Amino acid sequence: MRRILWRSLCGLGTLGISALSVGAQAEEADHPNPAKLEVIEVVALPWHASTLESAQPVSVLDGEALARRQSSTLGETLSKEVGVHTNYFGPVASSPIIRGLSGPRVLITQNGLDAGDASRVGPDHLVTTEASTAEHIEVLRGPSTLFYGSGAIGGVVNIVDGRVPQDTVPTGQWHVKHNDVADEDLVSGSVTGGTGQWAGHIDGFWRESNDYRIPVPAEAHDDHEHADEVNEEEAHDESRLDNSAYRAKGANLGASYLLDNGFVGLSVGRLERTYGIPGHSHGEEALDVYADLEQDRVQVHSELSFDHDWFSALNTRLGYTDYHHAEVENGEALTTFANESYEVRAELFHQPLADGRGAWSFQYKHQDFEAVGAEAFTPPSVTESLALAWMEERHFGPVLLQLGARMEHVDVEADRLTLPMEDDESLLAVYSVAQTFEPFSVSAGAVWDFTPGYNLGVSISRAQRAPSSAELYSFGPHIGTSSYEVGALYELHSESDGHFHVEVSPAEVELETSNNLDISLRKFNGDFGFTLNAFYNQMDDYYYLAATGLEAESDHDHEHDHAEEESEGLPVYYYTAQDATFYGLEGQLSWQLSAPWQMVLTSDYTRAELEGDTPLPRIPPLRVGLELNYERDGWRASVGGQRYFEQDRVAELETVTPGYTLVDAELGYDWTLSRQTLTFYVQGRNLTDEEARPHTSFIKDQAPLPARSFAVGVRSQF
Amino acid sequence: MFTTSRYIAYAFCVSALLALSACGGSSTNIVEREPVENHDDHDDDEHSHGDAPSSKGRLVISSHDEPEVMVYDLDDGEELAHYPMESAVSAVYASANHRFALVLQRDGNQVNAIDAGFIREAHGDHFDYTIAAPSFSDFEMSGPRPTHFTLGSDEAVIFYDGNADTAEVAQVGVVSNANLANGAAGVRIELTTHQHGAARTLGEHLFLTVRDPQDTSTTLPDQVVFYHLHDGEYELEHTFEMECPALHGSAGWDHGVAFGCGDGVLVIHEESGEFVAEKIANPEGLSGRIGSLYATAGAHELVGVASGELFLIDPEAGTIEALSWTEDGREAVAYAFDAEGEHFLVLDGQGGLTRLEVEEEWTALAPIEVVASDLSGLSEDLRVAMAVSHASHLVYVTDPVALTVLEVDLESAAVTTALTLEAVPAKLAWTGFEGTHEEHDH
Repeated sequence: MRRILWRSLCGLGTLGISALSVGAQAEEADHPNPAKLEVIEVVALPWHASTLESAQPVSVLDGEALARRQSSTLGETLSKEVGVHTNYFGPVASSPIIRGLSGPRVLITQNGLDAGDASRVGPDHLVTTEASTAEHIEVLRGPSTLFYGSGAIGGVVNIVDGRVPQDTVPTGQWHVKHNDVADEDLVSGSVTGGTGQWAGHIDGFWRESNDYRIPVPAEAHDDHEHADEVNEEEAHDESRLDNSAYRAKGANLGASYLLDNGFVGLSVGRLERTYGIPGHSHGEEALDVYADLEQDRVQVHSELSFDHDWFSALNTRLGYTDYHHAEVENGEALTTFANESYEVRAELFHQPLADGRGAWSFQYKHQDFEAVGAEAFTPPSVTESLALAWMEERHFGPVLLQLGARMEHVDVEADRLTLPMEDDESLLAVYSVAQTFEPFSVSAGAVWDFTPGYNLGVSISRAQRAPSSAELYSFGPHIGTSSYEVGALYELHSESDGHFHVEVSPAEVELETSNNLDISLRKFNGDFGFTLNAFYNQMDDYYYLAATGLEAESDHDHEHDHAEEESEGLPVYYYTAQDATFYGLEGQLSWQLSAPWQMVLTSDYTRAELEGDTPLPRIPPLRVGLELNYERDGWRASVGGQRYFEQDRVAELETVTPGYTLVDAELGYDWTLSRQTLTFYVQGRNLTDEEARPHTSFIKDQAPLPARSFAVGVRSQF
Repeated sequence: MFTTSRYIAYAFCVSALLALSACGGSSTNIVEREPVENHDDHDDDEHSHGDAPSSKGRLVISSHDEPEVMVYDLDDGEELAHYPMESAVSAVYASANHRFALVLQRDGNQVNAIDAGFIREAHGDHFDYTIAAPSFSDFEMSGPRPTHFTLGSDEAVIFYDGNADTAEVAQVGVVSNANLANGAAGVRIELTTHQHGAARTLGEHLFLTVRDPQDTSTTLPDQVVFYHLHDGEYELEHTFEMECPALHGSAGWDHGVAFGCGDGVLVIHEESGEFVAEKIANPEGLSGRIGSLYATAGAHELVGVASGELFLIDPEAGTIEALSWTEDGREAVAYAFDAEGEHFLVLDGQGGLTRLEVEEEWTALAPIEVVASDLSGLSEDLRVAMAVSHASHLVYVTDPVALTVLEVDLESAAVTTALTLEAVPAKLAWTGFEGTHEEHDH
């Protein structure tokens, strides 16, 4: 019962009408539309624990809530999750920010295996996952290196789908949707079934959109009075965000052999997407650059239980992804990114020891990353990691104690790293670089059921991260961030005339270390429930792009800037390790007003600063959300708003972002037809047609959020 | 009930944790290598003009005896790479940007691509150029019997004939430069039956041939349709009613396309925003039919080939006239325009190269005797072949007997040995950076 009620507080389920129905079902025996009672298991956790049993904050977006929130990008799909914001790069490539951390600190996994794309390298690169065919999406907030290693120091987003079926029960779903803001169309579906000991699964999706409508001209004006002077004709011309259209399709096919003690399954999948990159410009002229992306993914899953003296189960996951995308301009492939990766994860569970359960986890990952072309700001590199982790948990009366440690060995090799020679610019110095890191993470947590219907979670962790190859070796223009990036492996020497040169640094590269404290208070019984989180994350040697005050021309391999002659130079940023502090609060309150009515209040706030109280860039502002939900006799309705407050704590070269409020509403009707449930719905987004520019976006001044939009759709589950 | 072994295991776990806590370090090993030339070391003025580096380019050559292709550097004559293919190579063509060589394997139902390494990157107001090592591209496009190949301004068009024996229908693949760079498959259209057909693009339009599936008397198509590119997909727009019996061969230029028909040449051009099909009848005295066509992008006249005889076709005037190119009855084996469209080149079976001067009323100059070897003993499936450089006034001709590739300077008529090979050359394609030349059709 406790877990069931908890569903109304966890993840977006709490915000959605499905949560309302489940919560109401638990409390009201005469609920008119009984919902299936289920425990939310978190696949991202090693023993599929429920969200309630984790000392670390975990939220899950699934079912109806996922169907309602799913968007063309992962970032937008999760953007209303507590503690999660988006780095908004249009509807084409947004990815999640967790508690102010993103990029190489937030790991994106598909069924627990690395997504294997290039999204951790640049904000304009797509996360190669698809929400429309996902079963649920899990978000682990805070350091998760214990389970996932170096790239998860800020959190994990795990997209779980049924590509490898685990039973033969026939199930399926389909979804058709049209959104007027970008003439966006979506068709998706999946079917799972089987016979005897064989289970099969197939899913696919197709989505396409035009450039999306925007409520104001795309370019932000410093002077709002001036913006008002934009004549109607100009405003009309700028009523859509140029180069924000996309087209995508994908499919997965999987099969499993079911054993008496588990299953072994294989899936193959392919994803293709062509999308414009808004705000992508060279010099004065904004040119339409689009990305042409393909990814093939093969996954093998196995879960086996044993009747063995020592071991009780073995879960194994193997993954192979072959990713590449080309950024095309004027018909020419400007830059090509490729990432070929292999991964093996195995978790061996021991039989209960002293009333405790635990597992050893082994992980091997090999990534061969390559970028070629004008924006290849980082050289080809191979990253190989090998990790061994140990996790245990045991109940001591009302207290669940969780312990874990992980040792990792990370090799990063760049075989051809070139720098212009200071004394002879006609030559390039060539280096082979091999680096080894041995991050170590340790975590202790406790969940205390101090009184019926409440618990208190405390998690303390010390996590380490090896800097990514992009943070180490970058040297060149990164158009996606409109900057010229210099990696941490180099020494940057500025000269009196505004020029600079770069040398390989003999100094050791430090590991980034997070010392994190997380406290969660949860109430999960009765009509009123809540979860409150407070976190404090002290980061040692936090790698960030520090503004240097220099400018460089945007041509690769050029070390010297020409500040006087090149007014269109890119600002030079240098990856610098400095201690930083992240802390904040997250809250979610759910109040069952009556059988059909529910109110949900959410809020989150993150403050992030370097030593000396220097704000870090693109940190999300305070956010408060309120949603009112109604459900009766098959009808569902909701109306709500989210207020993003002004962000005036800005980093160097960053500007203050005004606050804005987004108002959304939805009306739906469930119709049970034969063995399937059809849901007809109408959605309205940004109903007040507000100008909204996320502070967390690299292109906030070029790409506002979409204008008022309406969507209609039909979903079916059978 | 705990066993001793479980306690041992538990102790082991705790011990291991303590051992792990000793970790947390890092190390860096940097080895400096020999410096290399900085190709981007140029001043700002050179940036804005984006001049291509001086290079003769590279040849991609197929072997006659083995299913393989080789990449040779024309600057130093070295073989840079060779790549085995799954099937015999039937043709090798350069992509529209001359960076890739597309390798057609007709019997193997496969098209692969070799990235010759000439990478041109747009920077808004200029281009950056990189010469990389050649590589085998991820691109591949399978289909029944890839045969006909044409180039548009930014894409290649491959016509797969289909196969009557296996009931496979014909297909058309349109592959952009970006597709090749990205290893993507491009756009594919399936037709309703097999045919020995042709297709080519004109801007966003794709013209291709169709055949009546009920007609079993010929595999040659008899009609032309055109598609329009919409959101990355080609959609059928129109079928031209004018028939083109026994259609074979095509050419395209800036404002139109043409197909060879048994009874003349079908010319399709744009008029008041619509495409109009007209047929120019074969001239009297033409015993066969025009089965091959050649044009440059800015052409006013096309060249047609009928059984080794040349004909000059004026699409505007609607005329077809015989064009004399040989006085001693040479047998033509290959045709091409040079990079600037100044000469139409005819390579004959004796290894001679005849230049017809376009601006001089298509006057034929005396043939350049390129190949000195006796070619009379060559098997029927082995002939000389040529590839036109788009970086300079050079043409490359294979000598399958001497196992060489000869370089012909079209201005001076000088012939030198460019490459010495280890395999018998069959087909070849030139890759490299274009100079200031206009693109032209093959």
